[in-house]
Amino acid sequence: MKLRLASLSLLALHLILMVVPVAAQGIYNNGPINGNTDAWTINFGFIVGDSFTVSTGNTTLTGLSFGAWLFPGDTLESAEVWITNAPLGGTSYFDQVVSLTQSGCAVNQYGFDVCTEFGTFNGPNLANGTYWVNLENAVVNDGDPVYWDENSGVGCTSPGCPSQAEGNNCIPGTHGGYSCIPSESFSLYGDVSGTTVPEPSSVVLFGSGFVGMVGVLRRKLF
Amino acid sequence: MSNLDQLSPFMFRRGSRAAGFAVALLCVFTAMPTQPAQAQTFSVIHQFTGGNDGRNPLAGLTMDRAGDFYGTTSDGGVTGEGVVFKMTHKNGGWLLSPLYNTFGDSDSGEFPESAVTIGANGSLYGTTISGGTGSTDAGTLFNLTPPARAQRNVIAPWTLTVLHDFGPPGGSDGALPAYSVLVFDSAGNIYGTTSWGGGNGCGGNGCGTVFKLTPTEGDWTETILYTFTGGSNGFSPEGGVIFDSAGNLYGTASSGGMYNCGTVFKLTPTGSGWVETTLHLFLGDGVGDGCIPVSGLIFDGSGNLYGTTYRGGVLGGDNGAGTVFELVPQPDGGWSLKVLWAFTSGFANGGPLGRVTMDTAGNLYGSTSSGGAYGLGAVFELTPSSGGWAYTSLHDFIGNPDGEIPMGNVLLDANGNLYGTAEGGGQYDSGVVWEITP
Repeated sequence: MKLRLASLSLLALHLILMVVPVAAQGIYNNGPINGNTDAWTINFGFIVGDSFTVSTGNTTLTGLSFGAWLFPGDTLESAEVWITNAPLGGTSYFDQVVSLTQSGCAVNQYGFDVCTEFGTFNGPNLANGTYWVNLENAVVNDGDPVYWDENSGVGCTSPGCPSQAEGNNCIPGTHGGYSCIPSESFSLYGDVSGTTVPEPSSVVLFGSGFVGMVGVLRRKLF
Repeated sequence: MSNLDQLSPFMFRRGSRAAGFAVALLCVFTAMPTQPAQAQTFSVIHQFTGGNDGRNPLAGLTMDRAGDFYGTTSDGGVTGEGVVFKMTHKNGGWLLSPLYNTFGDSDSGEFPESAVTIGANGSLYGTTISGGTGSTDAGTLFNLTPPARAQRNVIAPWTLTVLHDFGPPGGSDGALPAYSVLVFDSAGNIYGTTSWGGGNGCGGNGCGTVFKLTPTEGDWTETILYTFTGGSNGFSPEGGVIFDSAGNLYGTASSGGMYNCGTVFKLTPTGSGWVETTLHLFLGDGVGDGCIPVSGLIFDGSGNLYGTTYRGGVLGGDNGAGTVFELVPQPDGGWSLKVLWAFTSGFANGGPLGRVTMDTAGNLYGSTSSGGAYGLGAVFELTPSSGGWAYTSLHDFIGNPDGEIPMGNVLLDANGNLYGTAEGGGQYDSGVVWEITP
């Protein structure tokens, strides 16, 4: 009887763990880094905003990745991430300096280091709709310019994509529609409905452990 | 048409040379052995991909006061018709910015083959070898101006304005400004050369011109200062002109003359126009003074001229691979030519195409478009030594990844670093920009 109770307790524990946050899921993806077409300044007073669509229901944003063009050897340390319901303004849902980690750098045809930048944050909870992620005040170790990689949304995989884009102090309408610039490479991550859907690898890991545990209990109980 | 096919109109015009004409020259046939390469550090600072950054840089580089470089590629870019680029030194690396890479659009001309010249206002001036408004297709002279306000993106094209459309070939205007490096006078007028045009001589396309562009009320007016006729004064000037302190112009005609080996000329302004004087008539193999001076000239501080020939330099036969020469003004008003170095064995099929560069110690630097240890070109230094000149190879190109066929001038900065281009080879077989540090 004690063993049965123990078994049920462990099963209940695993069911609870199923909905404990393990990792954020992709909320919006505007496509991979292009690296060769162009890139837009996100410091020295320049702001670039790209639209994104939330279609997963009540969603809390928790992370961002994007492509950056950097002068040789530079390390992007942080950027101000500003989430709004309009390009470069409107209602502000989030506005914080986010620390960034840099990976996957490669030198492009112009000599820039093109890198993937990733940052996590305790972001806003958003209902379905269209929003804007605006990047500015990017900081590198030696104060050089930082550029957000332009990809025009090629390879985007999310509802509502490709993004539209906007920059301050640029000529409106140059690229049609909303934007005066083409959109950039970025992805947003988050938790859906106040819970986090585990990544597939986490599910597999949990499932294998659970099956093993059941096997052990079966041998002991039966 | 390959770039080598585009190399020069003279290649299709060279006639047979008379032989055996003996003229006393103050040639110094350098018999000194070449010196082994010194401990120079060669590095490629840009590999052209053949994409938006360009392909096949034929010309050398131009440096501004900040130490940034400007150059051209004759191919590549968005339209595949050439690029004007800027290179900036950052954090120990080099960034390339394509300033204009849509040649062929809006009658802007096609295929920039010359180096650019920096104007007084910081804008760039250059030429294309073909294209332009209408059907002349004989090249343009253009001006590139930077954006009026600070740009927020990496790829920020400059604005191109065509100041003059050349041609057509066979007409009174010049045509095909080839490698002509442009120069300004103190009044802001622009001077250069065209290898064709200026009448219908030389097979119908014209024998070339020296031209002047004068700014007039927001426009530019061209004046032909001198038209080559293909006779003893040569034809096909390709390397542009330079001024002396008195306002005379000096240049080379790559072909023509008595033995079709080209000339060095001087243009003197007079009240009735510009008067040409042939300072040296290259005689070629008969005397080994060189043949086919493609590059322009430089002055030293004493008023001596220095230049290169693409072939010749060997007495007899036809295997000379070019020379570096000096022209020394004589008390009687004439000029005396010295061959400082003759490229011979190991330099088959052509030697220097770009103009030489002199440092403050009087050493000369240049490149050969072929030859060297691997037959793909070399960067060299010539040092005055015991009454002659000693040759030192600074780099012998092997093709990949260091490039091949350097054709432009060698640039020397204040720190003694050398910079230049190689037309082909490299990681993407599209050419490179290289640096040699002492």
